[in-house]
Amino acid sequence: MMLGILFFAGLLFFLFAGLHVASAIFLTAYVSDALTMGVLPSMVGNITWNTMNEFLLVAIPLFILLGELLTRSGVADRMYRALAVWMNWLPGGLLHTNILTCALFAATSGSSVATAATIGTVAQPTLKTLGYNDRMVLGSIAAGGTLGILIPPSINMIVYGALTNVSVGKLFAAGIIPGILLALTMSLMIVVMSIWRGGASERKEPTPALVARLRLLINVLPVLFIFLLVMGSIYLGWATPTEAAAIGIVGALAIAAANGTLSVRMLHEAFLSSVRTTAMVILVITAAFALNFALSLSGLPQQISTYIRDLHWSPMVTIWVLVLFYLILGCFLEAIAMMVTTVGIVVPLVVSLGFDSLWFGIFMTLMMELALITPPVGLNLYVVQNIRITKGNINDVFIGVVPFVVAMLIFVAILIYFPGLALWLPGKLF
Amino acid sequence: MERLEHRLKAVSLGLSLAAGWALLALAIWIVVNVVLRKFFSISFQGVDEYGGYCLAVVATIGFAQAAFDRAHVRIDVVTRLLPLPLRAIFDVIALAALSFMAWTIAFRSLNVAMTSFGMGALATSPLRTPLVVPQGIWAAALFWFCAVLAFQMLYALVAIMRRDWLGIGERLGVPEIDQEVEQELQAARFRMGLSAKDEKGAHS
Repeated sequence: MMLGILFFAGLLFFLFAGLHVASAIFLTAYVSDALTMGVLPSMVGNITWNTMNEFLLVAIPLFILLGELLTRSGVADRMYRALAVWMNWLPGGLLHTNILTCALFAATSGSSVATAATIGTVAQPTLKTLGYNDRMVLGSIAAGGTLGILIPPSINMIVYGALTNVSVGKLFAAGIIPGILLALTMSLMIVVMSIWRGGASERKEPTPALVARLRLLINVLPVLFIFLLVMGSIYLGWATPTEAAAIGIVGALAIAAANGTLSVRMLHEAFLSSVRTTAMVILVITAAFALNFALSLSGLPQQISTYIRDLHWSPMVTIWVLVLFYLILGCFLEAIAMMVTTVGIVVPLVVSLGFDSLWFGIFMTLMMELALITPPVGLNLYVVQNIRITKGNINDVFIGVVPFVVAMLIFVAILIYFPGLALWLPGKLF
Repeated sequence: MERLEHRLKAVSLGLSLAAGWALLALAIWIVVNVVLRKFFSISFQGVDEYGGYCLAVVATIGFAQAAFDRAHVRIDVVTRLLPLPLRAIFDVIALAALSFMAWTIAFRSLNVAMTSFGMGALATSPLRTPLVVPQGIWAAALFWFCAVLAFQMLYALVAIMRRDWLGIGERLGVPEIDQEVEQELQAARFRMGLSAKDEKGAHS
């Protein structure tokens, strides 16, 4: 147990000293290996090559590129305007459009930050003109954006799958129903908040005639098209997740060309952004593989499992302790870093308690979503604050997101007591 | 020194754009392959294999670009509370740790490539690619990453002697969220501008 405490203390020390996440993980791996087996130096070349040369991980740059292309293709702007006229009758009005557009955009994007930034930029001008409550607007965008990693495709799920040997196709399928239900839970929270705050203070735009509204729905088709292309090709067994990402890219190019947004300049911006993000993620993953190698040799995961089993907590108590653990960790760590540093220990533990590692992947994704919107380190909060067009302190975002944190925690509880929500669809499809 | 920095950045940019095109080419090749396999039952060998090599090289080229753009994530909850000179020192320590990782991996990668060369190792695929070729390119890209980090370290040491804390912060510090978002905003304005324009076009 001493070793375990040392391990976590060391890792947290390196991270909070402001080292790059990748080198903090790498140093922890090196130090803990030096204290135990001392074999990492001779293996690290092969570990790195095998990680970076893995075809499954090729899906990461491809899905990142797909998202970058779609963000720049103008589909989100059109989709938002199309959906706005359908949602404004609900209590909370266009706030629901924020969630729905985020959910739909998430179905083509593997990243939460990109989803929040894209939808936030598109949505704010209209919402400001109509006088919506600032905090609710900011909160709904920051929280809605996190659906990006739960609704497939999802970069974070690919990383989880690669680290734990869980099928990425199954993870994607497992995310669909929880993704839809979480979006509904958030919408429900908006309704509750609107009624609680007493009537609508915001003005409503006149609703266009039904025919005009139906015609606007054409603008949702590009996103559905990409989603069906990517997910359909996986579930019809035509393509692996990596191949599906490539198919999505070709589809996105066609959409950008149809929208007149395709140009060499646009491509180069998308390339640069994708290469940069890919490098960041792959460097962290490489370090994580080195860490997992060192950990598995040290026997630490088994020791911690035994230790926790000796506490005689029931599986349910353990999982709630993990909720608390990740909630606290997520306040201070970046989402992917939180996952890659812990799965090597936590997944063997929960599997030994009888949980499904596929289900835990969805649980983990929800905890990462929470990490993205819990201050002080919640990336989506800062993204939203910085694209906001109204003036004010970041505290508005912190306050605005609270109802959605509550909504997510309620959904975490639902997922814990009804694991079938995640496991039913992959069971049907595979 | 600024001129050298400028040159290195230009090289990195060129390499990154080439990596982007390679990624796009890979995507198109994969799609062609899927279509041929599905509808014509023709199967080319080696897409998986070359896709893997492509990832290794593209990501490694990106390491250097991300170092220039300060895109490698760091957690600054604690360090951002420090006064500027101290924060600059922590930036340099972080760079040293990243350099340790980079140099370690680079030397080990050279080992991997040399071993493959020495044994004449071939990929365990029908194409039987001599592994030294992709591994050699990968190792070279890793040394390029190391070179960029070494340059940044040199710059930082000179800056420390000049007490130029801002210069360090600008190059190594955690990008102020403002800057990060400024990038996102520019991208957003870019596409809003475009979509506003083509709507005008549609009306006229």
